[in-house]
Amino acid sequence: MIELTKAEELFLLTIWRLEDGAYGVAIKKKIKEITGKDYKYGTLYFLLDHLTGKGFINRIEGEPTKERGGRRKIFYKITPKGIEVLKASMNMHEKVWSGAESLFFEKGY
Amino acid sequence: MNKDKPPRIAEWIIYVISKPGNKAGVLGDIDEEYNEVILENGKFRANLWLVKQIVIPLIFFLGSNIIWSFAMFKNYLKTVLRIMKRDKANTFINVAGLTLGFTCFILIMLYVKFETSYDKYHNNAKNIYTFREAYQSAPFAPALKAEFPEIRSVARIHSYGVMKTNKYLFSINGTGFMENELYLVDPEIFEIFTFKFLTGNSETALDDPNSIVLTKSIAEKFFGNENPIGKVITFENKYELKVTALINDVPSNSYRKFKMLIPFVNYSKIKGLSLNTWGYKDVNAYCLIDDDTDIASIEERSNAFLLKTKYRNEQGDKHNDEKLTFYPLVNEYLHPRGGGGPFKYLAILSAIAFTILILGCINYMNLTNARSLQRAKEIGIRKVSGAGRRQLVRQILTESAAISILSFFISMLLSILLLPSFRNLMERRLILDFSHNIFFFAGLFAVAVLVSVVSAIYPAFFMSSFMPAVVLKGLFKSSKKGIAMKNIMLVFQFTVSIILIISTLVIRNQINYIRSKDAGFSKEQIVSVIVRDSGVKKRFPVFVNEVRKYPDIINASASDQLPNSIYYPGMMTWPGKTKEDGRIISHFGMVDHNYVDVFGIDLIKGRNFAVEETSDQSGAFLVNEAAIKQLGWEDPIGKEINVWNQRGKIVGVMKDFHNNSYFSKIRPLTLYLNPTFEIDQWLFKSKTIYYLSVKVRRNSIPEILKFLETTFKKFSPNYPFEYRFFNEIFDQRYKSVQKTGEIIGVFSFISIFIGCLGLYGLVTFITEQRTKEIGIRKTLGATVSGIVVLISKGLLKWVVIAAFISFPAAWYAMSIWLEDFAYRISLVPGLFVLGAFIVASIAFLSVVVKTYRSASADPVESLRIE
Repeated sequence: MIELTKAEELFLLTIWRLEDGAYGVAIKKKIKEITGKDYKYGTLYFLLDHLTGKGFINRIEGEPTKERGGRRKIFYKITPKGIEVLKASMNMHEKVWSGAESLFFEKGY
Repeated sequence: MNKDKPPRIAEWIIYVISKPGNKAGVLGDIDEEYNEVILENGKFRANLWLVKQIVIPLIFFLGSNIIWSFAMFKNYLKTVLRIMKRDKANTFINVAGLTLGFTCFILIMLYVKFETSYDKYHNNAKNIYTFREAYQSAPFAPALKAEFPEIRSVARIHSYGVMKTNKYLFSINGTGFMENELYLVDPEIFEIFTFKFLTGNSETALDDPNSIVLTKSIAEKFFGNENPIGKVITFENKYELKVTALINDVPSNSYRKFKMLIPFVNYSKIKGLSLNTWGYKDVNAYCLIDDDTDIASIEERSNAFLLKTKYRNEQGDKHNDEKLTFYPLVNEYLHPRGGGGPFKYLAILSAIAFTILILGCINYMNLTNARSLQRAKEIGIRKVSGAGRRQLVRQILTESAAISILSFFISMLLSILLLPSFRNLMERRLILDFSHNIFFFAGLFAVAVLVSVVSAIYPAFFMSSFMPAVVLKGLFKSSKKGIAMKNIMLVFQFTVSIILIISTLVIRNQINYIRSKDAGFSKEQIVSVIVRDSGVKKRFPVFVNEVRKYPDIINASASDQLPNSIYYPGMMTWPGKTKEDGRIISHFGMVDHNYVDVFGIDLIKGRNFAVEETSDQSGAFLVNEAAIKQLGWEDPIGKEINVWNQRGKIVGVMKDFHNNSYFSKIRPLTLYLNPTFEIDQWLFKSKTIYYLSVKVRRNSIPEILKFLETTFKKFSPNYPFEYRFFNEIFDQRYKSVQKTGEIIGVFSFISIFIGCLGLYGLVTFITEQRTKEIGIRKTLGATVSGIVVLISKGLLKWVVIAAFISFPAAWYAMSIWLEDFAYRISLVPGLFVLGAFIVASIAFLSVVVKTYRSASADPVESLRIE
């Protein structure tokens, strides 16, 4: 069974959430919004390539637009395989974390 | 809307860092967000943001590359070790051959580079010229400068003393030193040549006629650590010279190895001639000529000028037939005036270097090919198990490159390690400087990579693209092109090896011939004492007689030259000589009555000088056969001749002996009886060296030397006692020939060794290819020796072909080399056949060894391997 790293999980989820609007800037912003993490473009694209290589997401090239200095946007869409692996991840998460709400009431050691 | 673009440089950096597929995306994203940040926080913040965006990825980018290189390096080492473990013998041969090739190439080229760099270090090197006609008269060069403005500066130069090897007395506070390389030069020499002044001033150093400039080493020798400036040196007990400046030692790649310089104006004092004497020529000069001057034109005009000047010889004839040739400084060493010179030798060495390199590379390619075919099965299996083609190719290439790059680095290391021995061998102070020769080493590295790629291409591409089944069955092994290539390489290897062996044999034989050739005089048991004090001249007969009294001394003789080198060519005349008789030039030496006996010179006619014969005292000559031949006199005894204005009767004819080097034919020689060496000739006035040679009994050399020293001090107290064994003096002259032979011998051996390595590898490969065949033959009843014969016969025809190619090539090359020798061995067919035979034997032996191993293996095993 394939296990996702935390970063992979975060990216896949974000891309799924963004549906058809998942491109560089949007992904970056969404992640910042949700988690507060500020990914630099280098890492961002590295991870995106990585996920593409694994077959969890697809690259779709968009049309060039005037606003971006004439450069096209690159969109990412989650694949069925990606969906599967996210579901599995969520299952695993629930199993691991179920009933651990009382953690919040524990005093720190 | 999005009008603001991020700065160009930012975009460029990002462009470089990003992966190809993402470049557009990243740049676009950055552009977009940049504008948003501008809107939110203003341009300044936006630029800051941009910097943050770039700097961090940049660091990662560089860092990851370095880490990647480390990882690659570790990988590479692992690969190399794996290969070495797997196939020790072959890998070793491969690495050895290539490494040897590279190392020799590096070292030889280092030497060639040094030898071709003589005198190029001067700032004005390319504009400095001298005259091919080495000797001019003193007023000549300045007159030339005055006439032609293109000649910016001239400096005359005169080497003190007649022979380059003569040493002269320099006394400091009573301590005497014998030194040479003293030059009289015009102060302009400092404008022309580039000398580094350690103390003193180049403009004034040679102003005072009594000044002297020293090089660092000589100054240290004379004065130790003291400051030499202002100190006084007494030269030849006659002249007092004050040290005015100190210059750095002249680099070893200089034709003229200056040690001491004094002003040229002293020429008149020393020679007793006016500086305006046109008739006497023994001065050279260096000229600094303007850039872009047409040398041919200057030459022409100079020659015209020469005719107009007071250029006459002693008889008052104008030298109309002498021509002047301008000749670049940088050629003085490589193309010396007398001809010869190291150029041919350097060409041969370079050829050897390239041959060794190419041999090593060809070896490598052959062996890699062989090895890879062995691994064909392994590759086939891998393919079957799903390895990607690109991976296979990459693996093969990497392995091949790993070995050759390893060889490259080992060779660099080896060059450094062998440098001291190499320096000794070549007698040059060579420095291996990597930083100044980056292109050379980068080029060599490229060769290593190229070789590895070329040798990997065949197996990598052709094999990996075939169906695994085909590869496994080994069907593609026998492609026509492949076989043809292998045969060509085999022939090439044979040819080169044969040529090398033949050359080595020829060179060795020639050198042995020279060494053992009868010089015509004795060399053993003769000690020569060097007498420099010309005050001793008159007393030589007394000196000789005193020495003869010693019991262990058989005989003693005084002479102005030793038999192995009698020079002073002069014109011979005789009463009744007419112009039709032509010019006869004879070497000339002055000797006493005992010379012929001490040196064992044979007389074929007449007699030796005799003390009893009073007629000898009014002039007597001994001449050699060559002289008589040129004179054409049937009965020369008693006839009068005149050389260097010395008149005398011929009393005896000597058997020809080599009074000069073996390189030149024996020329006419006349020995004049003159035991006190008084002679009224310009040339001999500045002669400062005489020899007292004694023939000794072997046993008591140290005592004899002591006796000689005591006696010497009685006659010449101011000079240090110097002696040499005559056979050492003799051998010295042939040092250079010996050296050459030694060097060529070493490298020939290395080439042969590499050639044999390659032979062994190739033959091994060929034999292995036929393992299956051998197995089958064995089962059919063939004997091991039968198989050996079979395979050897196949190889033999290639040896024969190689012989056909190599014989003419070797003959041609060796003829050219032997041209330099007046007395040479003949190129007998035996040498050539021997060379081919040796190569054939090595091939045969390799076959035997390998075949024996394959053949004695259980045939079942060899068949099963498939």
